[in-house]
Amino acid sequence: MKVRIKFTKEGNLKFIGHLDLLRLFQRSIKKAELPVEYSKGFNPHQLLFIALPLSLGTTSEGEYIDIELKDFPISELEIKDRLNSVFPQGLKVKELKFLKENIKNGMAAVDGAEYDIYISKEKLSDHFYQKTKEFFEQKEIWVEKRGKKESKKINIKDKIFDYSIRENKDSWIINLLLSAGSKDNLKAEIVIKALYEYNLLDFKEYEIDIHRIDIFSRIDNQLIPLSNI
Amino acid sequence: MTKLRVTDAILKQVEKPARYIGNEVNSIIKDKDSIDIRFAFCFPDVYEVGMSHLGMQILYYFLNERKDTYCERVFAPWTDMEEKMRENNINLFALESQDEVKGFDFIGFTLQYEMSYTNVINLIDLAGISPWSKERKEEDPIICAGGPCAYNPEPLADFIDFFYIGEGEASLNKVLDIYKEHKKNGGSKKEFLEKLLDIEGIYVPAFYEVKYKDNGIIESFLPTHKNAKSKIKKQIIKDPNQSFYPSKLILPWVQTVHDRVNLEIFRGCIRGCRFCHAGFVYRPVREKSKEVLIEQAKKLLKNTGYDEISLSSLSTSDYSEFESFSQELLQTCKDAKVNISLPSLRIDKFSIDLMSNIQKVRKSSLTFAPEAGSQRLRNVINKGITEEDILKGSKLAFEGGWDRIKLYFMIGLPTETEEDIIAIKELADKILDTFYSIPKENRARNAKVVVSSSCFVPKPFTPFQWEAQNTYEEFMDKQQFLKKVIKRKGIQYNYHDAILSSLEGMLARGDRRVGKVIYYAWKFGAKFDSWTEKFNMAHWEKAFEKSKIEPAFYANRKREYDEILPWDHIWVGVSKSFLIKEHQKALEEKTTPNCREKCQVCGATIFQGGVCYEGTN
Repeated sequence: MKVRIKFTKEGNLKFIGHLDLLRLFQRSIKKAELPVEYSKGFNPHQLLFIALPLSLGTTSEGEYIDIELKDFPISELEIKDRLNSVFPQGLKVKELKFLKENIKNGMAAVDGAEYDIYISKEKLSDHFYQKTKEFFEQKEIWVEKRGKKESKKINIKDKIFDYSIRENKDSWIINLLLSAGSKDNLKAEIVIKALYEYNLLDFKEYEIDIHRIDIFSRIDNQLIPLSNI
Repeated sequence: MTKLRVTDAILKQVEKPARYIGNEVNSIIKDKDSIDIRFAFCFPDVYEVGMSHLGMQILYYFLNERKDTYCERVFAPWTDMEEKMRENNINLFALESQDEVKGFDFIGFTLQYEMSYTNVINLIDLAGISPWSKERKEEDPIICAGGPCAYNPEPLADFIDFFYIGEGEASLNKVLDIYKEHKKNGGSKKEFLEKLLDIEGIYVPAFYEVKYKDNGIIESFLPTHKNAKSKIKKQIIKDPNQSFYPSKLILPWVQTVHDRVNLEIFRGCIRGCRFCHAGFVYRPVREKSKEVLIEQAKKLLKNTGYDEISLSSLSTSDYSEFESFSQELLQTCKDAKVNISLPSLRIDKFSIDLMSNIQKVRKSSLTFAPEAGSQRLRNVINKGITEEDILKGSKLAFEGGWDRIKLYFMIGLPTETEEDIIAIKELADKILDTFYSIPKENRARNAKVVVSSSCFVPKPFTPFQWEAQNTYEEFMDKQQFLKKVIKRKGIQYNYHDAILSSLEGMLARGDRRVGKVIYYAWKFGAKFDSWTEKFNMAHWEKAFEKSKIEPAFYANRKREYDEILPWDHIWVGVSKSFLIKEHQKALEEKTTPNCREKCQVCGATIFQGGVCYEGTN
């Protein structure tokens, strides 16, 4: 049986990389004594699938992992409680449910992701709000994409599904809904870098904070959170 | 969530930021207001290396058993992080509380290898404290050190307030009890160190004076305080079945070298290989019972969620109930989908069968450590493995499906000649011949023999402690010679530059004056010396010049038996007369039976436990 887990990765846990997070899940599942299925072959590993890797340094309140468990009598709530009791601070199961057999695994289902990007007002001019609007309203948004051999220019405009901008005391907060997944992934930092360049600002990735809100799948031309499928 | 000492902006700019955040699964968080003693346990290397170290984990939980003590971990920040810390005036901090270690009661270093000494100095400095004991202030933490390199404490004597000689579980509690009382009553740091003179195993360098002859040799080494002991006796636990062992391990955030359950099955080694420091300083052998081990394995696996367990000891096959224990462990692990890894196994019929049984993974390589190529030289070093053992083992391995044999040798062993080096090549040849003598259908298609050589470093408390180490040039010439004679396809030769071994040779048998070299090398920029990409000999060369110290005096000079050695005041149990006897037997190419075959009266019986008393009640 397969379970889909929606979890948070917050606070200092943003500094744990993707592979290290996967190892943490492996240990936690064993610690929680959940009978996980293993792959066949020379080097059996637990059948775990993280829907969309999260960049190092990014927090999230909407991550997903699918776990293949052996059939055994246990409730969704029990699995959730067991995992939360062995997780370190910052990692938490929000929702957990059994998946129907025919459902695509999380990784294949991903089409979009939503982010909040916090940019400190300190170094920004008063026109930042206006310029940001202008930037996103352009017909085309070209960015340099560095490949292994050469870099090429690509238009990211239609990979940005939606945007909005709001503020709190210290920061502008840009909300982005971006294309995501194995086919067409756009990283939030690429958009913000282009925005900085449009504003003639020097972009330093470590100066912004990125927070992922949720991951979506496109069903009947609508983006639905993976947890609602 | 603990507030981090370093800002997010900095953490986002360094490699592997998880090294610096603490709060791992199974780490311990205590209320700072309800404890009396704050102890920073410091491993002077990067997080992934330190977190692989079993001893640190044992002592971490051991110290935290005390309600009055909060033991936290400290590792050497990698150079990118150190740069940021120095730029932003951030002092060295402990992982758990993220507090500066400057405000702690103790900073305790574990000394695992000589090439970490510049990191020790660097970390004290990074903490915002003077590296020199005598320049430190009353409010600074007390800095102590232990671990295998502490058996010759002299090179660090001017930087460390006291050394703990032996196993921490044995009497570290006494030290903390005295400190707690002292702190409550108030008193100077010096008064506390004086109180420590009453307990065994503590060496306070400030209470001893060394005088040198004109030729540089030690003239006298004498206590300057009436309570300072003339011999510091190593502290060990008598019975590992009764002593503390953690039921958890901290799960490192970042993948480490040994990322699995580490189960210590015994301490010490019965073998007595004459080059081996650990084989003498950890005597006598003390085993845990099979029942205790299975119990501990189960607990550790349950509390960590690891899917691999490794047995830890100097020579796994020498565990007295190895066959039945390994079968039982195998069963336990099979049920829990846990892999077993068995390092330091003797390769014979039993171990080959065992490995075939547990290794579902592709059979990759098997390792032998003959250490010397010829039987003559193996007799000199008392390495009890014969050519017949190796060839028989190889044959079994090849027939069992393995196709790669690794061989470890040392270059520069005492009495070594050109023939001994050629014998390395000949042994590799014979192993490959063995492979081709097996009918094709019973072996893999091709085989590879990988020969690796390291450079011999004479160590204190071994029968070779009086020997001259080969010079750098001698090492390099011998390597080149061996490289030239190994020509056959199917035999690969690996070696590395001898410079680190030469430096290690100087530090391992150094005296107090060597401290200056370490200090200047650090001043000129040396750190992470054991990391090839960070090591720079130029720093050390400048340091030798500045301190007017001749490294050859320490590394390449043969000592007389009656010379006062810098570590003579440390008492490890094994007597000097025994070491002399062993040294002479080495020169006569005579071997010595192991502890279980026949007691050699080495002196370790004073500890009243372990192998010396096996079979007696």
